[in-house]
Amino acid sequence: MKILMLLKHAAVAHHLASNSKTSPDINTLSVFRDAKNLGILHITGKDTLDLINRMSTNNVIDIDPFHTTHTILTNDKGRIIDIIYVINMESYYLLITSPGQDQVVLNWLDKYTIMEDIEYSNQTSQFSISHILHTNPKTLFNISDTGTSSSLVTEINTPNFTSYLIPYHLGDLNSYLMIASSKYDQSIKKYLGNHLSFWDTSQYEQFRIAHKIPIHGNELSEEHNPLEAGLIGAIDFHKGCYIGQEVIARLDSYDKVQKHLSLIKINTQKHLVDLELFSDGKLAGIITSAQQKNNTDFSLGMAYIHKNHSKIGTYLSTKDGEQVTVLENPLLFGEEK
Amino acid sequence: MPVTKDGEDITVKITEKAAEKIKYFAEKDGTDSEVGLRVAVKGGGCSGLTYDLQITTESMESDKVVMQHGVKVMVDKKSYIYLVGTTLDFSDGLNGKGFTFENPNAAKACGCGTSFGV
Repeated sequence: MKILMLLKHAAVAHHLASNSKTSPDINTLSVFRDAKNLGILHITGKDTLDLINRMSTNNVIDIDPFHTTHTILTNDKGRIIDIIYVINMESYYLLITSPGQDQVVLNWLDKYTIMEDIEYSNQTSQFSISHILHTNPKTLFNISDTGTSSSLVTEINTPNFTSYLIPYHLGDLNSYLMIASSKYDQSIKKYLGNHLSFWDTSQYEQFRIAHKIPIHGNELSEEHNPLEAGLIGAIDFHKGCYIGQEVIARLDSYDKVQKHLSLIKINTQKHLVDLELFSDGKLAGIITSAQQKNNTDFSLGMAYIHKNHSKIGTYLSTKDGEQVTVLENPLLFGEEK
Repeated sequence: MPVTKDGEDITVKITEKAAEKIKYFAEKDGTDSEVGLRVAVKGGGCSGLTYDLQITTESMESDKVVMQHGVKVMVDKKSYIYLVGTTLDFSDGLNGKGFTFENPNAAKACGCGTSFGV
């Protein structure tokens, strides 16, 4: 029995090794994609950070000008409304929301804005966003980078367009958002296209799954809480109250998180999203994202798996008997702070 | 049921004990004449809304203002709908919780006592 277990673990280790070999090396990536569907809220007012701090999981109160941070808006049950990216532009703030969540986030914030000095404006349609995966895209614009400036918002001025280059931290991924007025959309894409490869939705989706980046609608929704989704690194357990805080703190303190978002390997190429996973005939999880891996006969996916079955190396199966292996329980923003 | 004083609605009733404590803090704050308390509601907190207390004498035109136990209690128009009928008390001692709110509009409240939902 022990030998069988060792063989199983060796097989999983091999899969993990081959997985990292066939994935693009994130430190040598030089690509961009259209991220126009991300929402952008423009916010002004002295109470902006104070309100967002009282309504989301991370500590945003001390974001310095031209710095950024992720935080999660949760409802009173501690479930995810959206991950938002807060950018302090000194005289105003930008909130980047998930695709299609711009108005949901705006309505949620507005609902709890009572006496605060805050003005919201949904500017999603007025901006164009490109998502750049590159270690230092400033070099594309002949801007030298020194010291800590790599974590700062940088203004880009070219003869054809003006935009902002914003560090966009997604786990271990060097990523940037380039935000500009939508009138520059074509000139920016042309410029980036001369320096970087373009990724379509399918190429990015494969990369996203392999790098364990959850997205709203698949992995993130009001069905799940941030602890299940592996977002503990975007929760500050010392900052005080926010909507959903009591539930999240209790789940963490009493170890009551029932399922984990896992990276899985599936021995099939069929359409797999929303497919249930079983262990000895019992329901053990559900697949949220999956895509066939290039030049292989298997797919990588993400799935919520019950804690009893989410250990790395656990074998599960689909209803049709295809084998599924748990590869990892990722933490997008790292461990608990 | 609305709290009234001399036939007038009182949005937030403060107990004598709470008034004494407000005067104590106002004095510590350097206030030597009129003592005023703004009671408001802010978004956020565990249950969605949070009580906010500020010692100040500055009132706005749209405020509901009532003198109680020597304290000018002010409530802004927007907070009024969440606070009508609320009693502000002060509990001290070893098990004391400080200022406490008894709000008939609150459908739920969180453990810390400063946040509520309607």
